[in-house]
Amino acid sequence: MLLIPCPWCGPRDEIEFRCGGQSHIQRPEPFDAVSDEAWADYLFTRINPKGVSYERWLHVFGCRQWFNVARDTRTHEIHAVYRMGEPKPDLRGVE
Amino acid sequence: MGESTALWTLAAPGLAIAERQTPASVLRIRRPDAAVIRALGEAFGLSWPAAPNTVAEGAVRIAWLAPGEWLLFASAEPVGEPVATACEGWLHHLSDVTAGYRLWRIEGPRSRDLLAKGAALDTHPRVFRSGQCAQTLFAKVHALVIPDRSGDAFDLLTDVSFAGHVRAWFIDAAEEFRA
Ligand SMILES: [Zn+2]
Repeated sequence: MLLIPCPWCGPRDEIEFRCGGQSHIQRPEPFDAVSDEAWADYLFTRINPKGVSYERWLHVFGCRQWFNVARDTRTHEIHAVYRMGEPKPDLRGVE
Repeated sequence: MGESTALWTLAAPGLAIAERQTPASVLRIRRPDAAVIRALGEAFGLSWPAAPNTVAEGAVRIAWLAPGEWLLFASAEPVGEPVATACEGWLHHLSDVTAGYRLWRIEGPRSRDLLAKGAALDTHPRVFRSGQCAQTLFAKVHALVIPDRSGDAFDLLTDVSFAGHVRAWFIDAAEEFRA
């Protein structure tokens, strides 16, 4: 069981959250010029890192806010939690 | 706040539970600023709970639910006008959700032990006391938990559709306190 520090509610049990998969995915633009490969890549290709994974999580049974979590897939350690729209934190030395 | 008649009660050593209907409304404001927060506080004669997971109590009890979202323990009718005045010029909405919830009053020295059986939430008075609130999973049901000033009592708000389940859970959970 992970203890996830929600940016609004503080540390809460994993059962209160839902993981929304990889974060920082950019929709390709402009839509009418995007190749099939680029569109398929946007829709379906996800990295599966051994190490720090940048993910979106929803505090579904709490404040119902989406936020980002930098979680190590090897250890489950959460290195950073930051709000949607904020850039990836600098985790050099951790990754 | 005048207390309505209990719909259901349970008593065990060190524990008393009462289920009640409660007036409730949800207020949502899109990205409120300090001015509208101040105006709401003035309209309700309290310090509006703008900080996450806090509660304010005046003539109406108000609990923070999410950024820009609050639960008012009042039906929409009496609070509609002060809300509309304070939120003038702001995109906002107020919905009466009275029919959607049940309020559970849990009192007594074992109330914290009972809560701990149903929720992983840290309810130690060092981190969770009067003036705060929290939404969590309680007995697998979404709940708003509000600790009382006394430190020995909690208010729990759950969806009305789970009332039967929550009653049954309380009966089962309180059994060990009878031993
Ligand atoms: Zn939260």
